[in-house]
Amino acid sequence: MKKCLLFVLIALTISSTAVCLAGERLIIAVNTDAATLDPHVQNDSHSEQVVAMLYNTLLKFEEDGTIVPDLAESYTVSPDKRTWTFELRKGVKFHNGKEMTSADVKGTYDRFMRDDADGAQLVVKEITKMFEAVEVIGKYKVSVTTDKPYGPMMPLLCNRSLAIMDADIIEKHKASTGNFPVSVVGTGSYKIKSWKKDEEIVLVKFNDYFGTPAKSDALHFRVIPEAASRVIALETGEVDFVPQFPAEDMDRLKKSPKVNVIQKASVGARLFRFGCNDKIMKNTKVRQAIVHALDRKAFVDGLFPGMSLHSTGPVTSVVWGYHNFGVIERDLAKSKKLLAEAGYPNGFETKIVTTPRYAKGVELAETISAQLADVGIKAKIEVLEWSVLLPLWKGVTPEVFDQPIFVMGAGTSMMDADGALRGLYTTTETGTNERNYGFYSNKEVDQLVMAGMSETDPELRKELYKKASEILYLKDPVAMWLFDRPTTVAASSKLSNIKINGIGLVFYDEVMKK
Amino acid sequence: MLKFIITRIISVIPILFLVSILVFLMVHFIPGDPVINMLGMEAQPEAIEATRERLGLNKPLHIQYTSFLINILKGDLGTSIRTKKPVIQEIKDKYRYSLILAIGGTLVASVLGVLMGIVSAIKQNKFWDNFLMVISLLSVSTPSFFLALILILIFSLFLGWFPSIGVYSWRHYVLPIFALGTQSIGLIARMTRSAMLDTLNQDYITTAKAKGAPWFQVVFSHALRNAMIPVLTILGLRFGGLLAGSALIEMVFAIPGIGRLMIDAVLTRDYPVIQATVLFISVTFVMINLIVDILYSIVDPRVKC
Amino acid sequence: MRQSVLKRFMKRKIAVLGAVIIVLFVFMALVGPYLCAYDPLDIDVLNKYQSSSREHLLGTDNLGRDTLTRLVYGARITFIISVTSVFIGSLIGMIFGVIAGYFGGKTDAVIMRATDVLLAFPGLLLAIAIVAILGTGIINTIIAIAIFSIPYLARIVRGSVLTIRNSEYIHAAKVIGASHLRTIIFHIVPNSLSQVIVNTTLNLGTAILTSSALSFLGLGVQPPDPEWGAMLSKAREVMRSTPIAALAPGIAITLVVMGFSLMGDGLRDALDPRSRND
Repeated sequence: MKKCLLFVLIALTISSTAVCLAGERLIIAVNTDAATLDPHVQNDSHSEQVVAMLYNTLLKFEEDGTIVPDLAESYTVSPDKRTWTFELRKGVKFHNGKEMTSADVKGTYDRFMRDDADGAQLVVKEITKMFEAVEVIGKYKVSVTTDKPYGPMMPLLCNRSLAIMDADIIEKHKASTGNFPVSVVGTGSYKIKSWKKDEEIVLVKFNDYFGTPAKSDALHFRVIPEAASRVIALETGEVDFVPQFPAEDMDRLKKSPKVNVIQKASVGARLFRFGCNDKIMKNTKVRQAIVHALDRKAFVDGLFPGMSLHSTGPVTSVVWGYHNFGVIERDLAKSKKLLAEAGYPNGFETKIVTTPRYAKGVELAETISAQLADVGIKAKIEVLEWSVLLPLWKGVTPEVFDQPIFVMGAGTSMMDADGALRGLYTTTETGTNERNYGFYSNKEVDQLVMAGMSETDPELRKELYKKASEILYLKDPVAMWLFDRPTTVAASSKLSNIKINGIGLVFYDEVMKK
Repeated sequence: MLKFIITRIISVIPILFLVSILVFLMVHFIPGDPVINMLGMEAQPEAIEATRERLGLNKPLHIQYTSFLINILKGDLGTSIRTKKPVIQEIKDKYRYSLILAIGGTLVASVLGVLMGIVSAIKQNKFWDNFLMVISLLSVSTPSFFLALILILIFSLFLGWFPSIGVYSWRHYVLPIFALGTQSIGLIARMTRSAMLDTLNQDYITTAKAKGAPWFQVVFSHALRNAMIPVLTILGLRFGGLLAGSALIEMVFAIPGIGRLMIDAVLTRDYPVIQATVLFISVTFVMINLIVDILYSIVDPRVKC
Repeated sequence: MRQSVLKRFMKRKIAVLGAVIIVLFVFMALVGPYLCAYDPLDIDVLNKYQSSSREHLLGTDNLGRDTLTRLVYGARITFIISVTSVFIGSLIGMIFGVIAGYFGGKTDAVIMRATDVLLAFPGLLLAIAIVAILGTGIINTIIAIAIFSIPYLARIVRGSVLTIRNSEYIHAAKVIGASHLRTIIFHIVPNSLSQVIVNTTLNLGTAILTSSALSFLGLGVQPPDPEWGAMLSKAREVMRSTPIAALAPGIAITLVVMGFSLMGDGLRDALDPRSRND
């Protein structure tokens, strides 16, 4: 108790000095607006970043990936490893002044455990299928039970998709939660002030925050779609932070005294997946041929020099369960041989679907198309805007889905192979693709990933994911991995204490501005 | 004159009427189910049925059109597929920026254009005339989006005088307005020049000169007044061009105006927004021309129908 | 008569300059592709965004493709789009203009209201709206720009038809018993042709500006085809480190538009000496 008091005192002193130093606002130039600020619905890194400033989870990742308590103060696990009981932090306030209690945790989790889910498209549902019950034990005590022991429970609880919301707000706004400021109520160090769609989201410091107070008074997430304009704005001092910039500016920015470039290994990778419902692509040999036809130097050294690393497996090195399978080298003879064995000695015609939303999405497709031409595959390119592409991906049937090769960004907000592999690559039971957009189906992968999910011994789990990864990456490829994408940001040299975790989330609340 | 104004106002009505019909038909020209087009691929079957009902798509075309028109007059332009917000709300926020750009561009173009035209006319066939005509030729030929890039390169990156993106203060408007207005400078300069030359050779100017009136009085009070008429017409015509062309400038300078909204809508197939933006811009254009015509009749009382 | 037109045109040095620019670019579009050492679609990513060098006179683009080669092939696309669309648009516009002017009355009123409506969609807006309906691509760009130039031509031709409709020799032709079609084709069309030629030339410049603007916005010619506006749009991201990638297509557009504009003015002066400005 004494310790606690001491801590509070220190925190108070720190915060009061911080107040003296602060008064600054941080302007962050983002390339696209957050789609939603509903943690349960968000499914892209832009929304996730803003959500991370507004909401908290029961547990959280530190910068180095270790897991520490956040809204939960402590937890215990039952002997059958199915029930997790959390002691909640007391006195946590929501932005509207209400105290956060176990009722809010239950209200939040119940929302995505119900079948109807108030009409909102809750992405979080896909990763919490093992949740069976949430029970309120006391005002500050709550338990979560899963149907089977779930190996990566702790990283899952760090996922911002499981952020705790004000249960009354969910009840009131239902599916429209997170679409406008009054429906955005979290416990985070910042609260929302205004949101001009496609222009700017302004967050201001939340004075009743339970943790370390935010360093800057306000965060402005300003939408500047043009990459070049974002960099120019940084150089002219109009903005402080650019989370994404073109590789072409790398050298110049590194040399600039006004700018610092910061890089951090991340879960993100760029790949082009196969639509396995396609009559050509369902052939394993065709997919292997394509995987071996690519010259990945073109992507790593050509398109994204200094911003990319060679992929060495279906998950990146920071994901738990990673195994290094080496870089797949270009081998045209092997590729042609595989094509011949598959019955396409002279290649075939196909289609690559891509979107400008991803950095150089069109250039990637153009380069792949040119490289595939060397083994006789003629691929035309279809460029679709994100909002057009999304509905073509989500929850469609194999009859409708028409994308033999399509761009994807993969990553996992829980930094665990279960999150990286299960939803994306295991066979779906509903007849639609759910998150397995390319209708990939391999029984062995299904078994291995399912076993990994409930295995609680870390060494055995690793072994299971190694086997599954080898199939996905080489034996029965689900995609062509082009490169891993470390998080690379450019910040004004006035900023210090910039922390980024493996998911690519920037801890803006800790950034200090001179 | 009042009679002229009234007839002119009345003559606009059928045009607006026809414009609204074309905009209404737009969605019907697009291949595929108009309701799916209006709601997007994600739409739930119930929502599709409800919209079909609301728009009365089972009814004959002219009845559909009537309800479309009534909805517009009520300020209901439908819901954006992309943002799920009422379209009118989306447009209201963004219209202002584009209007400022177009008005600013028109002002820049008219002030600089008229000045250049006057100097050219006075110094006819001398160095300044030739020089200014080369400038005006360049201004007409350079694509505005290319000029915008050059302006950013020079004035933002190298000189650092003006910001390059967004609209957060008056300084943010300088480069975009200039980039947008420049293309019209040349047109207006040439128009002013030839109109000035015409009037400078008129008898009454010669008389005024002979009477010993100072040259600036001759130029500004006599010649310019008459030269204004064709210039005004061009301005009215160009204004619409600027409003539509501001899409390009908004793209380069990251300004969230109605033009960028329209382009985004086209790229994301957000048909209700496309309809609304097209309607807004064209109606503004028609109204501006109406105003110009009325001004025209005030400046030059000879104009009467 | 014809010779004197040519003579008058040649006397205007600046108009000749315009013609020379256009001839050079047309030559480039026709012959250039056979002289290029590279393929406009050949990707060499490791050498992207190179500055000017002996191998690549105008440097390379975002995928290491030779900018000069793409500029040359782009000239083809530019001329194909602008000439085809303006030709189609002018032809249709002319037909409507002649019909409106010749027959007058209700026919005239209907056609003129139709052009009013098309003109109520200013400049780029009409093109964008048409692309919104039809979709992107070269063919749709051509259609959009063709529709865009119909109303201007229709009005101009109608005007010139009106002035000659009541002239004596048209009356004479009617008296002799010439049919409508005959009168239109042999008497009215040739007389409004000079106006049409002048405006078509000027429209070509506008068409190029519009098509490059559409491609710049991503609504026109799609990758990987080398279109100047699209090239410029892509090169924006390296405006600072490799300005030549953006300058080359930008200057090309400016020059061609200028060429058509100078040529159009020259033609106007040569074909109709009374309309001279100075």
